[in-house]
Amino acid sequence: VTTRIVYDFMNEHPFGWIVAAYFFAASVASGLAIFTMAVHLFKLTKYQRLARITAFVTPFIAALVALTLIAELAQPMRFFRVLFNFNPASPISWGTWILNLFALISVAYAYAELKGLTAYKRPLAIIGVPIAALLPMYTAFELLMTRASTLWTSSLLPVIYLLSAGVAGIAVVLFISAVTRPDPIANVTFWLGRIGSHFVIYAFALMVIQVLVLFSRSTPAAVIGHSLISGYYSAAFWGVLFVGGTVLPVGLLYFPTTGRTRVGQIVASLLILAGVFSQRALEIFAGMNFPH
Amino acid sequence: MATKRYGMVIDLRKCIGCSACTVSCKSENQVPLGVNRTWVREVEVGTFPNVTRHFMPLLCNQCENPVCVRNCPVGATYKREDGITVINQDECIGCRYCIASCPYGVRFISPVTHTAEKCDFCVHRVEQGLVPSCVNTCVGVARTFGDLFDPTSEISKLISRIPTQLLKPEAGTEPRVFYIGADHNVVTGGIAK
Repeated sequence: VTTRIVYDFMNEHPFGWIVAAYFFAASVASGLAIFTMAVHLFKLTKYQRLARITAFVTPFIAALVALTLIAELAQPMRFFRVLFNFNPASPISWGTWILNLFALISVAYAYAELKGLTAYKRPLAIIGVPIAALLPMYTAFELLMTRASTLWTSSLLPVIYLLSAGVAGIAVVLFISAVTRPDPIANVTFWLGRIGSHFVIYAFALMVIQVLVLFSRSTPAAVIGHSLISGYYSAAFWGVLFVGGTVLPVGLLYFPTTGRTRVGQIVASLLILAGVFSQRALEIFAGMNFPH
Repeated sequence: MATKRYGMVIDLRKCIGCSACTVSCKSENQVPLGVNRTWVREVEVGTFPNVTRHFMPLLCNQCENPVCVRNCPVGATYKREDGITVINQDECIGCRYCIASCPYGVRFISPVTHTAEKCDFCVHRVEQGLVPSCVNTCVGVARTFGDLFDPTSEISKLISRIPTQLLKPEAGTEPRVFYIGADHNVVTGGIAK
């Protein structure tokens, strides 16, 4: 039966670029914190110089996460109400406290790093790593719990978000390393880049699975799947996320001729970050692209 | 134990697509330009010369199990004893999470109050013993409003007598807006073939 919508009305989409930026910033902050604290926990001495820098960068990114969260509110001056009205059924209530805890720990860790309080770093790292891992997973959980979009109701989402948070963290570490280190050709960052390139591939593969599953579900789900694979968002999906955010950085990082050079690492890290941002944006915008 | 459970039946066989409901809602609730609490989707089904036009009024489904209420971080959206889901404008922080959560796309951020809004069955009228404005103004008498817990109410009789359809029953929200004579293609926005 041929069906044509002659007239319909759609209220504004709830989420936009600020939410994409919020999810992205949360991933970067999480990845950086996990790197910083894991270096201390597992005594990865060759990364200590970088971990000291990322320890000071993380609180600023955490502040950016909080700012984007507040900027997203239509009533930003009421943000404090989330702190005093805890609804255990709402992912945002949990997310707010995860973010608060994360910010506190990252500031405390940076202070311990600054003052050389090594004894405090280990307990902070033991608490901080799981809290940092929860941060991107909560943003995925936030989408999961809406139940409105079939793209968002994928159980793969928290795994994808955690993986790509790790990817984003490694990308920033590579960038800092390449910019600050006089000799970036060291094996240290080359192998970190190789590990990162594995994560990049897994994160993309999982998103492809997430999208392909849509075709075996309802027709509205397939509409979203088509919009990503061959429709409105396909240029961003294949061009920015696949080629720009996956193939090129993996190629640059995996091969020693480029993976050991400063330019190769800078370009790859920026491409990875663009890829992670596009993943978040695609997830949000394509997820809302379905008829109610 | 709640003594009332308000709901609405929309008989699509009687809807003529005049959008008087949209206009009266706008007027009654001072709904700003660019947003709607209720509207009428128009869908053409079939190919020439066998084409039919269907009208599908849409509004908040006043779900028994509302995702918006569960997900609101500050409890600004809540369900009243009588089953009507309302928003406390003084508490809403405008996080838009209820809008993203709603499977029916009927919520919006008011450009005037900067808080979430939606249909509340004209609760201020219902409290005065009146029916919602859209029901009052419906030219084809397609909308019926009443207490679902009262077996003698017109709405209960309609539901017991005529088969009704719900929007997105798979979402598990248990809507309290029932449709009579809904075409499957129209209900799904023309994408479920």
